[in-house]
Amino acid sequence: MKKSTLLSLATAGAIVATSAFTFAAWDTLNSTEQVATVTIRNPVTVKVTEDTATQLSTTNALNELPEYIGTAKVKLSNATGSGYHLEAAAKVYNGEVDVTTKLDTKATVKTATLDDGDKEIEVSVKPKDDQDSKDLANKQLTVKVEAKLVKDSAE
Amino acid sequence: MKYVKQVISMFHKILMIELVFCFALIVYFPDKVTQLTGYRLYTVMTDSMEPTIPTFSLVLTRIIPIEEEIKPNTIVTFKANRFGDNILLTHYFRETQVGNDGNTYYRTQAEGKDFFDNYETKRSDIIGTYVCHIPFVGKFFLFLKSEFGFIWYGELAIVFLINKVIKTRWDEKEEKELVKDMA
Repeated sequence: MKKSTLLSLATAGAIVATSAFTFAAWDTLNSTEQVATVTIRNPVTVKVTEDTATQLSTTNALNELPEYIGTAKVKLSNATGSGYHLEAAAKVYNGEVDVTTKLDTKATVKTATLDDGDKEIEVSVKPKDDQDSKDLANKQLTVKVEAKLVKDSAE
Repeated sequence: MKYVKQVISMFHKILMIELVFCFALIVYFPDKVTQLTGYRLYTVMTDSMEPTIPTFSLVLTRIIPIEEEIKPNTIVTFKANRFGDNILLTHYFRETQVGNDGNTYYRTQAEGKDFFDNYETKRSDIIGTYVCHIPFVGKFFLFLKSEFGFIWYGELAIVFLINKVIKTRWDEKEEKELVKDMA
């Protein structure tokens, strides 16, 4: 066999060997190894209970804007640990249309503790003294309450 | 005959340089290649489209203009936000839905799943449509882009240099022996 052929074969062999070795080294470093086992506990759930008041109570006084107030309940499950708090938001719909911004809407969480069980959220809807709010008079509006667990900000 | 051999050798070298240049462009400057060709290569990192597209396949995607309509059941590549990370996914586009906010959302679905993805994908998030794929080649692309890829280039350069040094030594030795014989 000619010397040059031997050299070409040796070069090809070296290329294949270095390529395979480098790729294998990269692949090994990129593979995922089992370092520990983990058991996922039951998920934390926040559920607005459905048997809340169907009609908000109201105040009626002359020369005062009415305020509609009610209580929604949310049920917390598996909410152990700290660093989180419950936040709530209320939205008002006229049919499918979101009219929250046309009214003064508030949802206040009435409990400070974060443990399992029912938590009360006070919902208040008050029309504004403007035409947008007046246009909603005599319409059956739907109030939806959304509750969620929010991480405490690190201050 | 010697002249023809030289021309073929030169063409061979030019072709090799062009191939390496194109390959380097595709791997390291994909945005430029996309601008020029309208196509882009992506590596599939998960098994969400198996068996149609195996993990680590290299997928060729045709970039589509925003006004182009996409037919349902087309495989599309789209941007998504997963737990705060902006990622690219290649899944089936199934149907459009109008959300409560009035926006049209493109519902996507992984292979073999009976539910849609959770992503709020708008038309502007869809980059392109799937053209074809080469199984497992994507892993080689990932390797080339890694630090080990650069180490590999260095190793190839060293092997090439050793080859050249040995050849040059042999040529010099042969030339000396030839001169000796003639003298």
